[in-house]
Amino acid sequence: MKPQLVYRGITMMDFELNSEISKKVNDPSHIVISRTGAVILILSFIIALLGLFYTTPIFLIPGLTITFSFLYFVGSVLINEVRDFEVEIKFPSTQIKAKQFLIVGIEIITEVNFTGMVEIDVSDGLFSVVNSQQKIIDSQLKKSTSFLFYAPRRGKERVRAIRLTYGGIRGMFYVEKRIEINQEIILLPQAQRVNLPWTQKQQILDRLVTELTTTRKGRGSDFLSLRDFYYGDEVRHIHWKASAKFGKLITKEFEEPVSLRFLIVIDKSLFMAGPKLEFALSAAIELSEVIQRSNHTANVLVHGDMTTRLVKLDYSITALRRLSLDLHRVQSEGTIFNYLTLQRYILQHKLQGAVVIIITDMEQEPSFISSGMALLKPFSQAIFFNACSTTGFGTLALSKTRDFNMYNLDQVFYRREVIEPRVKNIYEERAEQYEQVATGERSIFHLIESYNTNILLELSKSLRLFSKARRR
Amino acid sequence: MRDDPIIYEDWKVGYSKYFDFRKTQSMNLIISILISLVNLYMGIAYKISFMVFLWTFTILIVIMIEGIFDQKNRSFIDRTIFAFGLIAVFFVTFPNVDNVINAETNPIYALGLGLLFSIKLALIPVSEVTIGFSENILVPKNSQTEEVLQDQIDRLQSTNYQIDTESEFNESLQKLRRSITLPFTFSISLILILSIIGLWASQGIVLLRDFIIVLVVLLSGIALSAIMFIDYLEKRKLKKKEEQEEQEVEFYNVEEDKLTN
Repeated sequence: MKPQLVYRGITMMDFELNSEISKKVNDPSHIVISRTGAVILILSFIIALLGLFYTTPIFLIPGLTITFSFLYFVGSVLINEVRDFEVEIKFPSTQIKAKQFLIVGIEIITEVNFTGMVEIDVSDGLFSVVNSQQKIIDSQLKKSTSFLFYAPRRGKERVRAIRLTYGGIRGMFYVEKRIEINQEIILLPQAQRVNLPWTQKQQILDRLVTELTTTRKGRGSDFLSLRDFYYGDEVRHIHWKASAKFGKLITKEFEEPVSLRFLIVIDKSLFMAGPKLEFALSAAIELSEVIQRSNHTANVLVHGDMTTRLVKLDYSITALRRLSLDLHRVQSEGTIFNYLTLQRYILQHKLQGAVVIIITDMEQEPSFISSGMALLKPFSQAIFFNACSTTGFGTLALSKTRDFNMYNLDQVFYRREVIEPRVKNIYEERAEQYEQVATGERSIFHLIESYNTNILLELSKSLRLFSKARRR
Repeated sequence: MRDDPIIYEDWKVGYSKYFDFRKTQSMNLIISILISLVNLYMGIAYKISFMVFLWTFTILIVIMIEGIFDQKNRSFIDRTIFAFGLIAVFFVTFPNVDNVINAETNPIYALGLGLLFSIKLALIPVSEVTIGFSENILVPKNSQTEEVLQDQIDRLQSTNYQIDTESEFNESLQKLRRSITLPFTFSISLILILSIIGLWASQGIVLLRDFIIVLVVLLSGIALSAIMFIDYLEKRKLKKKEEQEEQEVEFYNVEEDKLTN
């Protein structure tokens, strides 16, 4: 049976390409004498010979202890030989979301009497939880163990090798079996921190769609209103109860189904690097998941200074998987978010007329944003301008650094009381300027205060403002 | 507001709870103190001689150095200082052997001190290994994270990727301990028998004992050099292979460059 691991409603397996990877390896084992072991052995030889020369037990006993145990080890290896055995290494999934757990299973297949240590060598982005990276394995008790790692970083990680050691004295002389695995682990963008129920997500999307469009009569399934029956109307749409009440034929009217095109634009300029970009990527996946399951279409555009990546979402099952696989290697580049190249790209790839949801930051000049809005507005149905707050996301060096020089109280005071409030003021002012610039007829500015949120919640907040702006 | 407790701020860095490396280190320190206490007692009982004074002094220095290095997360060199200290003290006291005959020749004193020293020497690799065991691992900071981790482990138990239970782990740990202590107990018991025979028996048996010791040292020396020689040969082979691969890669790179140009 395929192991299914479900974590708080998010299935760990839903991005799986190959459900289970297992490798059977049989590398020869060999005797190892470590540097410490060699030094101590030679020293003990000298001490033992000195003790023999001057016949003092103070030297003889410590000198001979290590020497005898080394001979015992050599003898046991010669008698038992170095028995080789086959090991199987299993991965339930090699593609997981960031900030989730990775499992590596190790099993001894052949029948041996084995008690030793298993040590696993992984890349720096994997942190061991529950147990350390070294473990005892005993073939008589249990033939398999598994390691649990916490993987917080998006990108690629690697499980490099496994080392089994047994016999002798660990740290000095022992038998070693090293197995090279070199398994690549792909860490997809993380899930949104706040997980909304599915119905609420759909409600928010529906509200968004109703705000953006005007209802029209047509051949839908949603009921709109009642009107008098005219010759030529479909008979099956007659509302019989109302007809009986008013004494004339009355028919039902329906809404025309609308399908909007969404364009999710992610800023990948250098200022976004860190939590802001991670939030933007996971937000893009969350949004496109909701949109894909409705009758609207979504495209994701990761736009930087130099390169642009467009992911078109279709209605296939693998579309979301392909999207997150595509986004897992996105890295920030370039200095500015170039609106001119963005407009050109939209025109080239015929993406005009879409509802644009921009996720960016507040590092650019407001004048730049106003010109960007002017460039984008003619070619879009509506613009949702979401800016990640610099202070809220903790990317500002001042707000999070520890005060190393705690004794210099003047410096601490100056930083806490003068610099930090001033910087905060600057960003607050800038947010106001952004709002003035970006909020207009078919566009709305919204500030995302921190990453402990869901993009859909933020959208619904900005939607409230959007409807107010429209009413005005 | 937050629904997902698995974020980096929710974890703190701790040590593996199974291998407490501080235990072996404190054991090391206790043995050092024991040795110096035995020394002092013997010195007082047999009138303080130069030899006893020097032993105590060296051991105190060793304790001090160990304490200093422990704070800086030690290297294996500082643990071997003790062995060098032994030899140095012997060479210093060698011309004064006549003065210290009283304390030195007491068999219980010599045996006890030798045994303690051998345990201390054996603790060097053991503490080296336990420090390796007690690696940094992530420990949940709050109860919410702990719950999620436990959830994950419970789910693992239902599949064939299982995390060890406490009892299973303890059982295998005991086996491992036995396998570590077996060579030591074997050699120490052998030495004790040999030395006790040598101390109380006639000259003929002493000669036999000497012969055995020389044989043991020779044999283990030969084995050590043989293993190290094989190791060296294997390493050289691996190096050659890597160099060859590198050359091949370079060759291909050059080819590609030509193609692109």
